[in-house]
Amino acid sequence: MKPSYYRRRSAFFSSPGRVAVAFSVVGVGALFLIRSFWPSLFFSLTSPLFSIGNAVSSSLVSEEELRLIADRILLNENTSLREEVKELKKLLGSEDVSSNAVIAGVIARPPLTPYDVVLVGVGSDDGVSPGVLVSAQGGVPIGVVETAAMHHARIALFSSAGRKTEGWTGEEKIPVTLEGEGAGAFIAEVPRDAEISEGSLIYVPGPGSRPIGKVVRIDADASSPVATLRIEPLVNIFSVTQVRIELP
Amino acid sequence: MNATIIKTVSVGSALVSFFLFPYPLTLVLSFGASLVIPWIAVVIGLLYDAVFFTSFEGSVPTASLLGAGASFLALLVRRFIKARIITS
Repeated sequence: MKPSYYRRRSAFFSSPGRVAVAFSVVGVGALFLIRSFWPSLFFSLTSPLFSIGNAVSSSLVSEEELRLIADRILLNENTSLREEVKELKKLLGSEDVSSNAVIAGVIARPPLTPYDVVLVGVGSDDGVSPGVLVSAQGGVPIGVVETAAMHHARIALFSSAGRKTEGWTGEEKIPVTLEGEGAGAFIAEVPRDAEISEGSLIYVPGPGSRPIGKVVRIDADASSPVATLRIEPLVNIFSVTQVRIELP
Repeated sequence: MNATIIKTVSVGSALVSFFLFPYPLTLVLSFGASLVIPWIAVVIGLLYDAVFFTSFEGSVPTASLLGAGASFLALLVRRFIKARIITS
């Protein structure tokens, strides 16, 4: 008698399932290639749709909230200018700190976007190029341009989880490596005996020294030689509507 | 309700959410949609990474991984429900 053979059925993937897996693998490969060789393609295509979402959400912000945001911007501007004056007095014209910049409207920001990324409505046509510094209103640095398409740019914020940025704090300019925590926050480790107090401003290099955040908590363990600084951003990245992009 | 309408509404809401709502909500809607069409969560995860992922030392394409995880979970749930329907 002729033995009958039965094909073993996969526990998870039926025949159409296998086709879907094959398509997914090919799709992922294609996406990877496009993303590698043309990084601005996807956000150029999706930016107009994000603009619609931004317009809808902007119309829902109350006048009271707008006034609070404006107050915060003025406060940051004041802090930034005070620091700039202090630096200029030290430099006394030995270094040119003037810069050329463009103001860009934000079309997508956290929490709409993951990874602490911001999409803006200016691009390479306006002179924006990858790697240039981006500041929020009040001159507070928030990140760098990661990719620039013709009319749009993607900004990677300093606070992206795991991203490291060099900076300093205190009157003695103690160097710190800021590590992004996501949602605008940072942490940094400093020697435990460093004279840093809660409320100290953290600076990053830019045209002059720019405050980026302030220390809100210091976690120091008696058995550890280092203390961990919990840093709150000076700018609320969830409500930023315009950014200033320094042109090269 | 018609199965086609359920598919259209669930996938459509997940895709619209990508452009209008915070990403945690999109994650929830994608998982809901992937119970109807399992691969939709992977697609949305890949879309997030294609548009937003920024590469630097130590960065991981979390959205794609979460999407793949959600799809796998949805597949498991679907298999479990089918098995329950057959045995009952």
